Amino acid sequence: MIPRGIEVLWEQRDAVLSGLLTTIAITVVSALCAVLLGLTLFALLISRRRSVALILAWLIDLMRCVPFMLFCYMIYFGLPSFGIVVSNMTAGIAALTLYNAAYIAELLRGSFAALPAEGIEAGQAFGFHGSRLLLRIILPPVLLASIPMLGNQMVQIIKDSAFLVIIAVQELTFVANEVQATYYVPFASFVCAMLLYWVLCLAVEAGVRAVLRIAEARRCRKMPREGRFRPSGHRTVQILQGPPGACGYRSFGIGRRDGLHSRTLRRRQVDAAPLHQLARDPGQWRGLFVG
Amino acid sequence: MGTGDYLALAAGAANTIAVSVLAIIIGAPLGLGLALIRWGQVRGIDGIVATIVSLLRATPAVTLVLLVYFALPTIGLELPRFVAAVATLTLGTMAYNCEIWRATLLAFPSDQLDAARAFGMPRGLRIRLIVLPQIARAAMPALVNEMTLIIKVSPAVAVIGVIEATRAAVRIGAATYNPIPPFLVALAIYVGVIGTFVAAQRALERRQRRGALA
Repeated sequence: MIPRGIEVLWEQRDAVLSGLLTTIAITVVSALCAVLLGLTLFALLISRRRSVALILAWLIDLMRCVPFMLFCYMIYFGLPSFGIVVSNMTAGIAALTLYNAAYIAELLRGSFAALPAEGIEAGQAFGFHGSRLLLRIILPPVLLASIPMLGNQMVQIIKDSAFLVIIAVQELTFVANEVQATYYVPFASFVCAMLLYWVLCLAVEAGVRAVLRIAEARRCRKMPREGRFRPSGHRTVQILQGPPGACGYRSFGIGRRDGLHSRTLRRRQVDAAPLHQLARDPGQWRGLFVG
Repeated sequence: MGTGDYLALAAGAANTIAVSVLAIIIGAPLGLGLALIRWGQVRGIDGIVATIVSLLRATPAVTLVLLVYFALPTIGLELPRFVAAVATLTLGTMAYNCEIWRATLLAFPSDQLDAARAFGMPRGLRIRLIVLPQIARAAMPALVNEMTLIIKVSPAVAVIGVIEATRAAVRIGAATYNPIPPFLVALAIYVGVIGTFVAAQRALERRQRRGALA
């Protein structure tokens, strides 16, 4: 029974592959649109126009109470009521985009609320305001802090895309269901679909880890080179950005003297002390590099 | 929309609540069991549990419900629609519950366990009296969040023909050629159900906080 199922699936590999590619395409397009729309909503949420922000926050809360399948039906059956006729695929992508944009805006707002306000105040003091404040000062740390949650949302989009089977979008679950209905191989075809979804989600997780690693490496590369910022005898310190209250610094001077190289140092936190201890000894501030 | 339509929506809502609540009641303890297996690093099963949880967390509910309903009969396990629906949502929530409980268990301070061990408390008693009461409190917000997620994926069971709130709304919309009103009623039902869970969690937290202060 199961060997036959595998055989049938192998014969139908083109169909399964096209279903998988459709799922990937839908996910990527909706994820990109949802992130862009989510960023816009986020900007409105934290804007000074409180009435807009309040209405938007209320709408986002409402959206977070709606099951995706109901929302999908609402878009699919509701749009024609307003005279808008679109293909099933477009309706599906629109539903995925709108639905997940609300979640993304909310998670960005959560990261924003958890970040210390000093950075933004410093940005304002340097004359940043409006879109430049948003793009240069607010968004980089917010996005960096949101990477894992954005990855989760991506996985959520992959899983939500299976709901589009109800409006006959020919994605992976739809194809699996068709194969099982035609050849009566339910076990093999759905397990195959499950494994493919698993691979997609594992790929997203690996991607998130890679992005975090790159972000970390970039931050370390901005470290001052020895001798450029560090007069001998002083410690070169990098202030780390972390969750509020967890502000610390790494001293790279001690390790270097012990003959450790930057690659090792990156991985090893040589010396860490609360920032206020550093501030108490003004002599240490010489050669300090805030990265 | 006539009275009959409202009754159909109410019946659908009852199905939604029944399926979700049963899945939560069965899935949460199962998830805790899996989390304890992973926490205790039981040799052999540990890796299997991790793999299954990862696979289940990546599987869309629609795919899983089709698998449970159509594939299990081929190995001689024929489930009625409703049971298949509950089984699917239970499997899904079990996997997420496992991760939630595991995260709380990993954050649990081990010195308390050492102290209990020093007093000669056996393992079962340690877990029941020291660990569980504290992690249940710590995991509560995440668990309630997961419960609302279960309600939100519960429409997936409509693909095997269980008439829950969303499906009922779609049927009324198709019959009356006016889909918007039943959808709005269904929306109100979901907002009400999910709002109840969130409100219950807030009330529980308030009570716990009062208990902690007293």
